[in-house]
Amino acid sequence: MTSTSRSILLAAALCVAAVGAHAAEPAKAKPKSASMGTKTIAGMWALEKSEYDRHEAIPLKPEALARQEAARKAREEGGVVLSANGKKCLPIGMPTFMTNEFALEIMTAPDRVTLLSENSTLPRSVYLDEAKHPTDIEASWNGHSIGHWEGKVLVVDTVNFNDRVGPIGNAGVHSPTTHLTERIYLKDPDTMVDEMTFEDPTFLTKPWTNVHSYRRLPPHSELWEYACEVDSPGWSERYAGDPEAKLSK
Amino acid sequence: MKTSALALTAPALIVLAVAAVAAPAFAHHAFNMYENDRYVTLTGTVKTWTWKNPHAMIDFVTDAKDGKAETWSVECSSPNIIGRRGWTMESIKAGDHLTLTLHPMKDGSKYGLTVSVITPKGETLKDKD
Repeated sequence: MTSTSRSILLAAALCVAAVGAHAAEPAKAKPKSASMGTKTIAGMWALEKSEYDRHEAIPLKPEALARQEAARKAREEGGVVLSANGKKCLPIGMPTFMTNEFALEIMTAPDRVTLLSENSTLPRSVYLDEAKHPTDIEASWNGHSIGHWEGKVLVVDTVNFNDRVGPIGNAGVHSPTTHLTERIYLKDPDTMVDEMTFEDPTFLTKPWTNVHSYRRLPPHSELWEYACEVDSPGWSERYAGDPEAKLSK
Repeated sequence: MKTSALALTAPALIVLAVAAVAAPAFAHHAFNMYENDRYVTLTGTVKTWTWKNPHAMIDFVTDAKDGKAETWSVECSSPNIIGRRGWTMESIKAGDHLTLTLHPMKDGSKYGLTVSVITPKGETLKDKD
């Protein structure tokens, strides 16, 4: 037998073996992921409003509740409309990065998942090639995120938030003592879910989970620009009542 | 973005669409000065339609009742948000007669948050719940 025909025979044998092996597998229930086709969390998403508003009150410690109430009064009765960060076009930070209604783009790579929000001046990165958070980095607006895949679920662990946001918002907490765990996955090919669990010994009496759903945007959707220009003319007149609003003509 | 309006001179603060009831410390923008559980429906004519960040805006004059017409300003969400839900710069124009449902301000001023608009073409455009 020539080496060529031996190679052909070998290849044929391997094919038969492969087919045979496949056919010999006992019938199994298809894993959930199979029903997603080729779709993954990569792509463009927008928050589903109906899920967004429907979550329970945050289990805040009494001091935190008092602080929330004072902030609410300042807004309702003090005419404060613009947050300090908003006035300066500062980053929205986490968790608002994930919980606002602006389009979200997710890109997956073997070593990291990168997220972009139309509403954030900063991207968000989830590092898949780190088992532990580094201990020598600065606190940040989005915190430091590491993650891993459990099947088709992206499990994300985030710490190291700075003290420039919140600390308390209706979608979660953001403080130097916050530990955020997320489980991000497809519920169906065009619906993504982010289950966020916040732990924070400074502000929370117990871990708090909220769940956000996102709908996939149409194919070939693009990120639209959003420029924060605090002092541009054309502001709604009612912001003139904000003690710190400075409107220019 | 379909139109150039967003990229041009967008007077903008970072807009956070947040739950109406629990006014959050995170948000740049408070919604608890509105009656978020109350809906007011008006019919009238558009004076100006502004498709810009941070908020699209509709200024309109209501159909006169007992000889009295009112001028209202109604704030929509960012074009980045409602633009993904069927609204466009061309959805509304000055002179359009439309039906507008809104959440009014608690202080009784003629200002509100857009819930929905029925355009002259009979199309319903939705914003806040």
